Amino acid sequence: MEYEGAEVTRLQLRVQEEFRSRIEEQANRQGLTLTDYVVAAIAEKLARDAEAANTIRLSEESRAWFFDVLSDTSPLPEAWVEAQALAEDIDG
Amino acid sequence: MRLEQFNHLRHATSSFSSGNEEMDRWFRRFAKRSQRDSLTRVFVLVETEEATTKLPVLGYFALSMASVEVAGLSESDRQGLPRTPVPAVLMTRLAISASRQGRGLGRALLVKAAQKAVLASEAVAARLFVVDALDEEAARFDERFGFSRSPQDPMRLYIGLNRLANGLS
Repeated sequence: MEYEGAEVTRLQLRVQEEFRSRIEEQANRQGLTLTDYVVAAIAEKLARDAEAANTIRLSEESRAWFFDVLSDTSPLPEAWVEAQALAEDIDG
Repeated sequence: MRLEQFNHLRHATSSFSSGNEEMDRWFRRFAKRSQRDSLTRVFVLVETEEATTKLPVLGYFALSMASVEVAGLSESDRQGLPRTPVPAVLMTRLAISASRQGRGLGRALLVKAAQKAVLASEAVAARLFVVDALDEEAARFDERFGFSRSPQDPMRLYIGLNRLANGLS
């Protein structure tokens, strides 16, 4: 993952020789350098993890509560009225 | 005061101090990257006066989209309800500079964040506004605004965007 104008830094990894050979072999097959291959793999993992972090998984036990929240149409508590007055001093 | 989308060229990050190490570290080190990668949108509160140097940040919040899945849903459970995952706007962070705390800015930023969540829901049909509370005190603060604690994770609180859309001016 590259960012225009971003500084480049080294990331050193200690892996077993056999593992390194496997990575190199796959990288070669795809016409990539070892670095490009490893960086691409990590970028994929980063994207997956970022997506997973924004998926909230509720258990069955939370189901009734969750539906109550979804179907609640009650007016907002008074706390919002005062807070909105405070927010009026903020532009944007 | 003015709310602006965070821009590391315009807003000072290193001087921000809310008194909470995690909130401060994230803002100083990760806000720029998170926004650049479109993982979050970060909004900062600044004084209205223009400055020649970077603007000091009085407070910030971070929003992202999330989805909520519920385990073990049968078809009959789904009747009258949206299919899961249910789209939500998630506020992972809200912090106020220590020098400005105690003046209602946290409440004001909560309103601003909720208004942005409502606007987002008009464009992308989100159903919930979900906030992550920093601690028990923050969770109780959110409860006073009608947020409901998740039984599974009491530091994550939910409110329907329909209620916010109807109740916020």
